[in-house]
Amino acid sequence: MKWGALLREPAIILLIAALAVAGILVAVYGLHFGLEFNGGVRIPITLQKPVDQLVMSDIVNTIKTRATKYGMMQVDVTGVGNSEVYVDIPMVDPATIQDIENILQEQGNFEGIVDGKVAVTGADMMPGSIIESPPTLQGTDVQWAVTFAITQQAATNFANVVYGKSNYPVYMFLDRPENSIVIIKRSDLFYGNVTITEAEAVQILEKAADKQNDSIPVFIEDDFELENSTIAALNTTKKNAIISQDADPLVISALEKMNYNIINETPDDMRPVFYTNSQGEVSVDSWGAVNLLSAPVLSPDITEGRINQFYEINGIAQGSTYDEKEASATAETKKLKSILTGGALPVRITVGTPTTIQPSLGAQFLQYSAIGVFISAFAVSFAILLRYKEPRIVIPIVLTLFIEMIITLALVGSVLGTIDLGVMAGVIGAAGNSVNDQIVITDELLKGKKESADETKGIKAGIAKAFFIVLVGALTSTVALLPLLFSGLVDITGFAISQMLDVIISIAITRPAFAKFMEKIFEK
Amino acid sequence: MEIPNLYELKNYKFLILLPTILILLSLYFIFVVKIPTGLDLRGGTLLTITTNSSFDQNTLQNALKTQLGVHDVSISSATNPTGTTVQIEIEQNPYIASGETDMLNFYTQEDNVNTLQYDISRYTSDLQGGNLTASDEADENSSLIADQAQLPQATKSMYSAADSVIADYTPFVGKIDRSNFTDTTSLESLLANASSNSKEAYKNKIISIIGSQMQIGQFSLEDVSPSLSQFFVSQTINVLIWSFILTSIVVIVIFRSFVPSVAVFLGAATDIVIALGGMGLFQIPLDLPSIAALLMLIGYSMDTDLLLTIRVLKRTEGMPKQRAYEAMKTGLMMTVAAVIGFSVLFVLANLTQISTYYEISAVAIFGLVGDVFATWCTNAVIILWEVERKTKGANK
Repeated sequence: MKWGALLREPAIILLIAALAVAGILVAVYGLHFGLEFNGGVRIPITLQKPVDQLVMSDIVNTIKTRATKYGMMQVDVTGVGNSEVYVDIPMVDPATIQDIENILQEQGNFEGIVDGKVAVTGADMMPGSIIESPPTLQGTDVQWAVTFAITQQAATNFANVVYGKSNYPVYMFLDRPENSIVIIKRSDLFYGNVTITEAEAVQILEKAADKQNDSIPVFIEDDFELENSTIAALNTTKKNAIISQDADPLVISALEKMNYNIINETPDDMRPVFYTNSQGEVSVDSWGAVNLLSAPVLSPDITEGRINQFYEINGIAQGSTYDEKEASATAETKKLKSILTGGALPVRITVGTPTTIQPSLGAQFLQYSAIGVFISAFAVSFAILLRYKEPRIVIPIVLTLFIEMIITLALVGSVLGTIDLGVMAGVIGAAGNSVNDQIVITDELLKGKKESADETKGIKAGIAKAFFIVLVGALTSTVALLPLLFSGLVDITGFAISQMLDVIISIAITRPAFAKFMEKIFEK
Repeated sequence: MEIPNLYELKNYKFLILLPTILILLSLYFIFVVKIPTGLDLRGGTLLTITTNSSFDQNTLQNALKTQLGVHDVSISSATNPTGTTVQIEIEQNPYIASGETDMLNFYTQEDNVNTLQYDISRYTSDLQGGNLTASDEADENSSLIADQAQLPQATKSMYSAADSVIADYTPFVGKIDRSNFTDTTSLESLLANASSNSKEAYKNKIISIIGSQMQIGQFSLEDVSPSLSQFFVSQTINVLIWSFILTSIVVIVIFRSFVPSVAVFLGAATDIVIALGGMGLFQIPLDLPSIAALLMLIGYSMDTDLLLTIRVLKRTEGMPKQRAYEAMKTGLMMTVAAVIGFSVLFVLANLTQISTYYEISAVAIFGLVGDVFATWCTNAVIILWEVERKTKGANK
């Protein structure tokens, strides 16, 4: 056989390229294994009622955000059907499980502060009263609104606090930090188009963050040397120093020496969002560093002292086209609802018993699976050797089998998901199909060779006949498994993914290469 | 050893009796003996434990039954070079299961109370505002009266639902006093905590009972709640229906001829029925992995059916019976190779107690054995009969 000619065949080049791509993907992204192999905990969550896809993705994102906020970056959240969610954590220690369960059950603490006084809190909300209104068209503008109701007792307090504060902003915080100071970089303070002086900017921020008996002093990181003594003196009342992740390590170490607990925030969160109101005054709309999320302005009619339980927060959506305005309105109402509910999930949940797999047992499962794959493949190879008695036929069959498995596992493990028991079982199942196809090709080829006067033509004809069987078989296998892929049965979706992917790889890449290889073997 | 050409026999059509007998036997095992339902579809807890200590299976089973208050506990174990792997399946605890249902009922009742309280406040506020028309005022007034009349009953129902939840969880976390939790939000939080604490306590209890009977090395614990298992059942039915519809469409489009389509379809159905019969005979549970394996069998079945149909109907070389025989030799090799592969997996699954591999390999082996009879004893006979019929038709 001419190896040089074989290597120039497009089918063989494609096969080598596919192997190279698989190798690159694994090198770049690494191989990811599922819970069953890595060990960890899966917490099943039942939703109070079935939800649509939009709400489900909202729930999944909220849980992910909460977990990330608490430093649990590796938490994996998956919606299962329309009323279940899986939360996977790659750890099994009871403290982490408890933390996750707390995160799932807990809500944030909402506070609406007007002129330094708490006007309304999350506890004041009447349950189920926070409702997003659909965006409404007013001329060319799109208005958004969120309505809510507070308890009678809270309504009295609200009326007192906002009395005479017409056009004052209500600074809405979700988990406002207590006993804290903020050290901000000058570049973060003046990020964007800010036309005020540094002193004015700091004053605006301190005023916005201020709460009766708990101010949040703001310092400029660049002037740390100058402010050093003032900051040190504050550590009797202030415990936390909120500072950018990109802060100077010397400043952080100095703060730690002053006994401050460092709270790192992203540069994005450190940057306040200023705006100029209708009277031309600059104010702050949001500031992630202190969890100030929004600052709607009080309309005059609710600052006259009348006790009212029902309120509406509304505004005009940003954007140039109607679609942009509508999207902005929807995003705004969603954000406000989330703030008012304290970041609660859109439906109530019941947390189920966590499924636990110890990492050492997972590693053992993986080891056994790898052994299973190899022994299965070798046993099949031996059977084929007995049938054909020609190593030159058996070697390409076995090689194709392993190449398919490698490409499938590399793709699934690096970019398409994680390798779990279902994926491994799918790969083993597909290996059976693969051997079947290759036996069909080999038998047809041998038959064609034997029956045709022109051996080369006979071989080609045999391969063509075999390919019809192979293609139809592949199509049917894929179609039969397709519903499983879209079923939401995530426990077994890996099986469908790996089987179908293996079939696609085999049809597009390995079968043509195998056929070409066999053709060359028998070519004279 | 060469396999004889069965199709050259005078009464080769009687071959069809073999799969018929197998199908009847399978139906007996499916409907009379019955296939057990697996953890995914009936809910419960599955523990896989590795241990180096010996234990008495009956004592452990009884301890789990009596101390957990459940009826169905199954234990299987296998010894491998690294020690003993034990698999324990415990049916869904009735209290935990009913706690979940009662909790959802509590949420519904709580929603009713919240809605009534909100509406009462809204109507009161509107009526006090004095900006309503006379007819609106009359409407809101009557709504207010109706809601006020409903609220005590709704509140009572909510507390009764809360008491049901408390009764469910008391065996696990002791007495729960709700008297200080007067508003809906704090009551909800109390019950949600009781729910997660109870599940944790139940899980710890299971492990402690097992730990008292054997030394626990590594373990995994999987729990499927009743609602999750209900979801699995409904989705499984959907998957099977859609798979059936889509595969039928593909077969009809490809063959565009009645007899071969029916034969191919019958072949796949026979494989699945025989696989299900094997599951009933050996009590292999119907679970998500075994269902996935059943779907996989459609692909395997199709390979051999196509091989037979295309070689006999679309080829011209030699006699049809000879072509069918040649196809059978290739097909049997295919099946033998696949059976060998899955048998290795089956042995490994038995040694390691990995249920996913066990179910998939067992179903595949039964299905593949069934495929030999379905393809070479049923389909081959139908296809050869079709060829003979066409030949006779042509001769006339």
